[in-house]
Amino acid sequence: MPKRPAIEPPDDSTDPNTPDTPDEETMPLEGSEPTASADASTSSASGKAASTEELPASEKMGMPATEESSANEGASTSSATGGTPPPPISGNRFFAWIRGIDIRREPGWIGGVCSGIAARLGIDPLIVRGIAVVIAVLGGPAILLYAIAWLLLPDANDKIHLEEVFRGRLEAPIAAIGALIVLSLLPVTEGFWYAGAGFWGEPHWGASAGRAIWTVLLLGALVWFVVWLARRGSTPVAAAATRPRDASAFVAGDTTTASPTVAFTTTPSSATPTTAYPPTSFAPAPTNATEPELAAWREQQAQVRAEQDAFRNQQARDKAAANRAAAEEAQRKRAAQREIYRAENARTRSHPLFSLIVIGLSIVAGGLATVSVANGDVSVTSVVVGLATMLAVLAIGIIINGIRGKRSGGAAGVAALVLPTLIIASTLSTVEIAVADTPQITYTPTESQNYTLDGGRVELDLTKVVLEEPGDFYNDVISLNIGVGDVTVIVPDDAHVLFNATVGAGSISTEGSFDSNRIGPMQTLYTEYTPGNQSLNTVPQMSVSVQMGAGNITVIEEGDNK
Amino acid sequence: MSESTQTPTRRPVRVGPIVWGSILLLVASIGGAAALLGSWDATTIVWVVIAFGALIVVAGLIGALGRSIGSRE
Repeated sequence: MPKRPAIEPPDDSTDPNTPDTPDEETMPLEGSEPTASADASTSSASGKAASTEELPASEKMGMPATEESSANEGASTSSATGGTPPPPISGNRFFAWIRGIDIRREPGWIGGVCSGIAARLGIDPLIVRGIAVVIAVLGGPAILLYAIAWLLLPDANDKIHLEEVFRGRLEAPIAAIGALIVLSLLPVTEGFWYAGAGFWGEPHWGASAGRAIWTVLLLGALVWFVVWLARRGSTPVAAAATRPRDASAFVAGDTTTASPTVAFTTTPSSATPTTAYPPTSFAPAPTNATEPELAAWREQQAQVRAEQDAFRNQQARDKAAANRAAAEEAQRKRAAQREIYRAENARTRSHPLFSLIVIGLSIVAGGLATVSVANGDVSVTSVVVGLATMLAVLAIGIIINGIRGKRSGGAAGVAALVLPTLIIASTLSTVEIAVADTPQITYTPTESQNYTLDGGRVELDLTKVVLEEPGDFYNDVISLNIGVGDVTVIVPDDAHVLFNATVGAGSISTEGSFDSNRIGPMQTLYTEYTPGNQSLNTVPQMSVSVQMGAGNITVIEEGDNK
Repeated sequence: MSESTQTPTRRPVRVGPIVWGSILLLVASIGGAAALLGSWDATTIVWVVIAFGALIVVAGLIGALGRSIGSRE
């Protein structure tokens, strides 16, 4: 097979023959670019066929194709790039590329972005919406990305809002998109992290770890996107259809620089493969031609170029139309599938009124159970009984739905809230009951101490600690680690106490000057007790730490205890 | 969609809600009973959970057997 030159021969050295039958397979767009990076594999694949087309054309002109020289190649490379018509407006290419991605917004809840992505992926829109909401709640830029997608993605009629803006048409959705972008810049949309990591009892490294995870995720998504784009092949067909001028760019060699009078030294064998241009064979310019001959030749060249442009544009349009038809067909299929899914969904949906009645009944039953067990004194135990009753009623409603062939319905959502609450309250209640039976242990340390025990009722009396001198570097440090229990800490009045407590599940309550009560999973409390009206420099300091798996921690001050 | 499924008369029983409802019922029973009856023996609770798991397994086996017999006929 003849070796293909690294670049296309200049159009000046081509033959204005009648176009051959266009063969789409042999004219990939990228193979025709007049750059030195012409694809070797493309040439090896189709070079032979092209060469057989080229040769007769040259012979028809009565001129052997010896005119192509490497010198001319160099000249034409520079001239071709230099002579390329100005690129089309970047916006057009950009929008064509966006359309080429083939994600179209579909009628949805807001802008139809999630719906469109779901349709493109062939999954249920609820999944995409759920992922978007989760990303937003976790502090991801979901709202901003949504607004951008709304602005850039075409709808079913191929309308892109941003393009309309560029055309000077401001439509109602633009206001909504602007509002979304502004909203996405508000701190509220940090989602879960709005209140700060500390509010959620997160360790100090939580925020930075979160940022690191987001960075990794986004970089990963970026890499995936680039790989995906690369694998999609080169220019999207839809884009090609909208940029005819670009398509013609690669044949627009500069006739003035690639002069036909350049000496051609290449042998015919090396001049062969213009793989990209079968539709019209090019012929070399006549050497030693007179000016009128040259003018005629140039005219022919222009005609050939016009024919090629028309052909190429037609081909791109055909391909785009076929592509669009296929996309529409796929969209119809997806819509039909969604309709089936929706019908099935509607058929098995729990009746809203049934759900409402079950939820209402569960609340009434739970409240009544709590009141009857509490008997005037609402305790953790009575709340547990109430929650258990509530959950039982909801469970029965869910089972009835199942027997009727329906899904769980709203009762399941309420049950999902009640269940963890019941488990926590039940743990507390169990601890309360279990610990109440154990004898109380009283610790009265006089110096720094570290206590560790499995569980039980503990009173930690710190009033007997012999305090260090004020300002002493070595403060008294007292710590208690306990698995399950009920701990009462009595802090002295005459010391500056730095108190911290953590409980896995349970409550931390303080009485006296600082009154607070925290109940729930992973509770942490940092507080300080200072003797009234005294400078902190003049009172001794003490650090107290209580770490507990489950149970209750109560802190009382010495004065209140007496 | 076939003719029979379109008729609103009979929907097949949905196992998912029944199992989930049963689990919720079990948790509610254990929680309520533990709170009402004072400290329960933890072993008893574990045995109740084991019995419940076994019940689900048996129900599943019966369902699978019934379906295979039904499909053979």
